[in-house]
Amino acid sequence: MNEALQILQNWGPWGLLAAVIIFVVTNPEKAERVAGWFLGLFSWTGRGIRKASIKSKLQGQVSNFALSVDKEVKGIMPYNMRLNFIKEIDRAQLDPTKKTVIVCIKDRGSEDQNLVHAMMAFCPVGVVPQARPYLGIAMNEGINITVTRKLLNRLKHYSALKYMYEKVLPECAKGTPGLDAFCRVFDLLDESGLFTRVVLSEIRDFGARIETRYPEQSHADEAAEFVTYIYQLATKPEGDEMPETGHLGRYITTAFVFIGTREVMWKRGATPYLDHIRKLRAAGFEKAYLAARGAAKGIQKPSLSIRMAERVSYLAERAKLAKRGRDMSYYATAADGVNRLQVLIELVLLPSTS
Amino acid sequence: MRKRIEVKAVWNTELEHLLSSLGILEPLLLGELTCANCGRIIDLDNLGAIIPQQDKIVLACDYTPCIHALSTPEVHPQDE
Repeated sequence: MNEALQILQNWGPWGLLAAVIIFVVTNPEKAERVAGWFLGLFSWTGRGIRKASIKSKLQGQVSNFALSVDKEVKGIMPYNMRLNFIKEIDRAQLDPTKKTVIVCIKDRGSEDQNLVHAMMAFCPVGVVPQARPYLGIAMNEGINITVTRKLLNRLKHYSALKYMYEKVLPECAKGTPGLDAFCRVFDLLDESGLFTRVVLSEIRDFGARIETRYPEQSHADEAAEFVTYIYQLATKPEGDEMPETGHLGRYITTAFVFIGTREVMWKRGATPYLDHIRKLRAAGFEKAYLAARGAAKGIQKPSLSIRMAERVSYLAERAKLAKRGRDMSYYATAADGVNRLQVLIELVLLPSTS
Repeated sequence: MRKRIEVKAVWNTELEHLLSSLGILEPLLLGELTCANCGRIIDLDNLGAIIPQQDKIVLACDYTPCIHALSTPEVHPQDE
């Protein structure tokens, strides 16, 4: 507000108008939310204003969320939402290969339903869209519900969350076998920070790799097996060995390298981790995540594991074993229930020459 | 500027016009149409979604699970 007053004082109303235009052009998602809120102040004046306010608000909320998720991992929510209010429809012009869904938006007292319905209609086409035809129904619906819940959590929209938990989830789960399990797994992975950063990211790449193929059951099975692997990994007690080194499927070939055993780090440094990366490369894995945990939230303590993860990624790149990809640092609840700093470093493994 | 994906919607006060264009306003007002998922009789207040197809029109009541069940695309491989 002070900035707006300062601009008005220094540059006059034209300066303020220019600042508003710059804000709208550079932040269309935020501008839409502001417009929705502003129009809402005048919603008592008539239906037209109320309609424009609800439209702007819904578009702004969904698009702003999609943008923030897409900033976290590029390409998992690549689009904004445009709510197109239609008055009539010509059935002859409908695309028979696509299902057209027209959602009813109500003007009073249905804010929760409006947001949930718009989001559920947007998710199948707005979240990892390339991969959707290759996933099973339960997994697809699980993604929609988890992403919608994430949006409502982000907005702190508690009444809509209550509506989701009490009315939507139990009934949806009854109608789709396996959906409840997927929702629980995705919820746990979301809590441990792996849902968007690893699961949706790998599913996006999986979709991009098989985009031209006809959807088959084997594709859905592979995606579900990968989710099971990540779930086992997320629930594994610290120090326990995983039965598999990674998920070596036909299209998803991803492994995790955990860095954190003090004795190994003290005695042998980065060597065992680099040897493990060589083994993964020889076995046919194409991607690996170096995973390290730091101190609990609120404790400022340098972490040996995190420093070692960074060193291993640097040495792996120098030895031409891998190319360093995304570097993700975030707080999440680990399997031991403690909220800790987590670091994931993505390595794209280079083909083995031997 | 990010690309926008369109979600089709109908404003509840324009619902009658849309239903009329689809030729289903009269049976709806007579209480002859039901939700394709739960079987509840649909009226102008509880209509949640319209899924027009070339040979038929599927209606869902405003209960989110019904909209969800009926709007799920059918091209996916079935879960075992």
